[in-house]
Amino acid sequence: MSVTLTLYTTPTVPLEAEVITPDRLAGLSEAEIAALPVQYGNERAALGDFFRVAGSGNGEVRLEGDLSRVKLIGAGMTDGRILIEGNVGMHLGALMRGGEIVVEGDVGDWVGAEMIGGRIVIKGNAGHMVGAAYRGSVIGMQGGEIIVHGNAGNEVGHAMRRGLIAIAEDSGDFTGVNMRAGTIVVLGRLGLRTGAGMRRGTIVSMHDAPLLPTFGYACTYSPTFLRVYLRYLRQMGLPIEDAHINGRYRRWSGDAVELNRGEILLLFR
Amino acid sequence: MSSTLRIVNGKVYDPANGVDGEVRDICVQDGKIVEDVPPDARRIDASGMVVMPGGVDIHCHIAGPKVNLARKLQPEDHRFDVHPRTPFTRSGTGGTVPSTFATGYRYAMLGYTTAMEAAVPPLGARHTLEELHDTPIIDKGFFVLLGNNVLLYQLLKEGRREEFRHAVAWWLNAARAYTPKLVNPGGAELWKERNANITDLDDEIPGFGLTPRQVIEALVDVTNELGLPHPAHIHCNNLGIPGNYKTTLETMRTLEGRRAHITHIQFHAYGGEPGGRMTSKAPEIAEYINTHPEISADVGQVMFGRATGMTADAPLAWMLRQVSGNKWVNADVEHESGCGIVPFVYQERNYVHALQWAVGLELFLLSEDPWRMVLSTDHPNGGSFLSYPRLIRLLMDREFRNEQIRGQPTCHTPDGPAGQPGTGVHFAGDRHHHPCRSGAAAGPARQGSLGRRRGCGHHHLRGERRQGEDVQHAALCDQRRQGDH
Amino acid sequence: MNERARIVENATCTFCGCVCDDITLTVENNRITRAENACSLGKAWFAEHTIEERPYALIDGREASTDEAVEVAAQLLVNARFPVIYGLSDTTCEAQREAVAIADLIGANIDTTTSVCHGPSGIAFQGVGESTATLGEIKNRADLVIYWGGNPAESHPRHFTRYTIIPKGMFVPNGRKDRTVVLVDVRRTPSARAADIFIQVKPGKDFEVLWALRALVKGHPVDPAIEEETGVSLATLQDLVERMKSCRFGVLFFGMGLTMTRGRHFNSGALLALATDLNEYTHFVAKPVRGHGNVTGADNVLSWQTGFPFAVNFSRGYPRFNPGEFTTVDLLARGEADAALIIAADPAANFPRPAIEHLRKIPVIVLDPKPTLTADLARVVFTTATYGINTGGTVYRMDDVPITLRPAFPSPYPSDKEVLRAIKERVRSLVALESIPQPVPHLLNTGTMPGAAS
Repeated sequence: MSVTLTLYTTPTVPLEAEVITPDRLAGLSEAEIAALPVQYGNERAALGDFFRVAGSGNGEVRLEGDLSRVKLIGAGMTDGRILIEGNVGMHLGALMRGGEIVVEGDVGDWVGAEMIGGRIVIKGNAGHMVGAAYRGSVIGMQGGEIIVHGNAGNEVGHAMRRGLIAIAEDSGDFTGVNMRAGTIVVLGRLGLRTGAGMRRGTIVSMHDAPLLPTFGYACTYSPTFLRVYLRYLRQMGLPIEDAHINGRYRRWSGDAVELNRGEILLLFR
Repeated sequence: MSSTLRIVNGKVYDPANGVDGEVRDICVQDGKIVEDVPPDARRIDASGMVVMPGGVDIHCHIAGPKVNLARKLQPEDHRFDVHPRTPFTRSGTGGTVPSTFATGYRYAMLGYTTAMEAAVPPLGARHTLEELHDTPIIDKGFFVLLGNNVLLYQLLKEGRREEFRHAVAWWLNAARAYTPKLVNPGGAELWKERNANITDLDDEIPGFGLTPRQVIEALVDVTNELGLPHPAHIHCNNLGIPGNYKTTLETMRTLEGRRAHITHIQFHAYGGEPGGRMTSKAPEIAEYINTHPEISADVGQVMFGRATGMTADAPLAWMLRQVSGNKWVNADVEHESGCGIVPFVYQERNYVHALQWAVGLELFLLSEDPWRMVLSTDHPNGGSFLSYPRLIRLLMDREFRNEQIRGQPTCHTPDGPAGQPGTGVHFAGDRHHHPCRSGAAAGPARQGSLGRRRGCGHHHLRGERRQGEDVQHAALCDQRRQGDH
Repeated sequence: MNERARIVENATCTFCGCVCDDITLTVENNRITRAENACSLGKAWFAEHTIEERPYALIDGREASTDEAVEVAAQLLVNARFPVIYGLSDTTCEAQREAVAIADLIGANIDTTTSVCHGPSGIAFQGVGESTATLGEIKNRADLVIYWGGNPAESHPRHFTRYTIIPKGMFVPNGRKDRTVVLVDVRRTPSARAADIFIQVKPGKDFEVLWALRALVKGHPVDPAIEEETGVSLATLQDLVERMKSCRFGVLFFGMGLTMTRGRHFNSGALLALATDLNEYTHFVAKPVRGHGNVTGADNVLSWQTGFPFAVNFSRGYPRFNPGEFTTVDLLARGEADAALIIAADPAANFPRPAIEHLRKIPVIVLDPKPTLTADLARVVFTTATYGINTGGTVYRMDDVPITLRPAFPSPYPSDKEVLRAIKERVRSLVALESIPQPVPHLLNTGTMPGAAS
């Protein structure tokens, strides 16, 4: 009960395909789907110029092929599922409100940027700006979940306001920068300058991390809410160990140059 | 394009010539309105349309160094209001500080044919002219900032009156400006020296032994001596401070009998005490202007939704920064002026903003001479020029206006009749009012009781953010654009 | 002196962002033989730009006329799906405007050398804002001058002498003696000699130092362990904070040491935030020290015409902005651009290897007065006149002050503006705009801004 789009023309310049959402494809025939407009560099083209279409839009969309140059898939979607077999380009699921996107490969920068709800699961690696605000925006992600089984780049959750981001391996620099609230869990290692400018929110890592001079040690404890989150992430397929769930965490408060109500929790080994 | 034109069947409104809704022809020849044109003139059938003189925006911020800083500052402001190209027009972006092509097109689409950039320092004149050059269709000009000019102060201080006049004239010519502009005269020196501000017309401007009153008088006199078509354009001291109506009245009294223009006078029409609750003194201000034909003003109406504070009144911008916590730009201009920029949102649920909105409407409605109480929002300080249609409706459609007033969360008066602005409106969220002082160094009063409570973290403006999230951009409400221009 | 020598007064030097406009040129036989007041870099700039015997244009390596080259260039641009226009910092605003018009017509990417220089400061500006001043203000008032991550003695020789440290000002009547000068950098450069205080930071640690300073300014304690991490002792930091809070008018200048090292726009942002924080105590400004002569002009022209200062894309018929997505280095390194128009810049000389490799594979059009590495790999090359020496126009100094050019002698070659205008007109006739479907804004460009409140 799904429509499958198989890439047969590799884009040589970026292809913007924000029409690829379950909402947009719902109830359309194969021919209608193939006729949907896409932006190929500075030209309008049709989805069918790049994808073979099989099946009907009925809530689930499957994508096959190397979509590294395809941008904006799932942007603004409200419902349904998108399953992507390989790699996919920038702005995946940006501003989405609901539904689910699952990617078997890697994703480009800005995955889930300013998203409001729904879930994005990435089996491979993510680029920079995961769940982040676009330049100049005061607020980034406002809800939903992004789960990355691989690594992520810099500025994960920039200006996050609500929601959950989980990175199974390492994240880059400035994880949680300018965070207003929400939760970021990094099972691997954090990069530099975690939580810079953070106001509220929680950043968790299972390893030690270099912290800014404006974060102060508060206490070591086992936060209850974290057990709930970690159990949930384990259900979502992340490698959460019992030691994580039962562990004690050193809590650092910051950012003192801002509101100082954020926290970084580092597993105490 | 033919040089003769006849517009037929339109309903003509021409206040200057006493034509009030008459269906008649308008003839144009070589760019001028004439009595008649030959039968082969191009015709436009304006059936069902209004034919009116183009609008004049007497005070807006659309071109120059300060405006461009505000554009650069806010990609998030432009992102949601793009202006696609057409085969004949350039693309651009909008929001509260549109790019230059979009500015020209959008003013024209509103029926405006003239816009005056309100404040440019001489050092920035070339930049402003470049931007105006890229602002299509409309006629445009600008006012040059001279009220904080150190060299002019020097001449005044030394009593070199004749040279003062020549210098003003020289600057007008060199900059290609329309008239002198004064913004918070004296304020720039105090700001640059110690982040302080003028609080009184007779404060001493440090280093010059001059007062704002003297500077204002000198520039107004020179402007009138030079016979400039538009009088000196004055942004009075103490903008936004409760009780500032006294400064405004005093400024106007100083200029008694002399032509002068007081700009965005709404921001200068408040009663109350600095640091205390703000009230409206629109009746007093309107009354003075009604009885003094030498003074003209533009309102500077506040419209709910997004705005960008951009002003040569740098200490004012610093105050807005402290009140809102938003990103802030300050740019001092040597010897001449400075500017400050802060993105801002006017919210219906905020007592002060609602009062400002009401004060503006009061000024319009209490004015007996609409020629001397001109429509403006001080774009984009009080709101975008795209909100003008809504503002005009608020003024012309009493039922709509009353409906808007009734809908205000702030307009429930325990003491007086509901829906009457200016009579001590009671704000349901009054408990967020904290009449405390900010810990900041410079600057005396704050707007109403908008002092930041140190360590509290819950500023009353911030408390309204959830509702604020849903407040539509006032401009976009009425002018939603999807691929149409 | 040759009796046919001419003097040009108040000529403008556009070699660096100082844009000195007090140069007196002596011109003999279409050569500048003297440039009084110019620094060594300026003198070299004036002396080296002579009229050389070069073809007006090259198409695939063979000589051609400007008109022939315009035709080929226009065809290449119109046929591209994702072209990029890059450079623009060493040319006039008048030329920059033509370039933006071309980008608008063909739905191109347009970007300037800002993106490899102070682009990060532009991004920081969009997040934090900036307290700043024109250079004359600094000359008249600044009694505390801090340079961070730059070496102005070598990159902007007259910065100290004309604007910031040496000159006497209205409120600093004794010039140098009334000022305290601090230099912060990862190594002791020649600029350090001009400073009263030199602070050496461990490479890559500027952000931590700036952050610690912000904390101290706000009255928060900082752990003395900061010294081990950054190489700067707590005592030094506290002393600096004291000086910053108690000065009359402070200024923080900053350069590539912040923008091009790990942290990039956050490094710039931390410095800008520090200057903003200090305004609770005193008057404090910050200023990025801009490189090329008219890179500030490029920022300004792009901003007023599109709303965005660099990394602009017109693919969808309206401007969009996203550094990292539409910046030239990235477009090239990812192999996305399918044509390039390079104006007054030499990316083949200084871009990362993957970007240069891709440039070799796509049709490139170059406008430059001189032969460059980029011209070597280009399909179409235009020889143009040098701005400020041969052509007039407007440029912007690093503090956004617009300055007019006073050219010294004419050139037989067309100006950048003339060539770009010709390309624009040809492109306009080739692109049947009426037949292009009306642009439709996409999701990220419609609707209300999330979290629209202040």
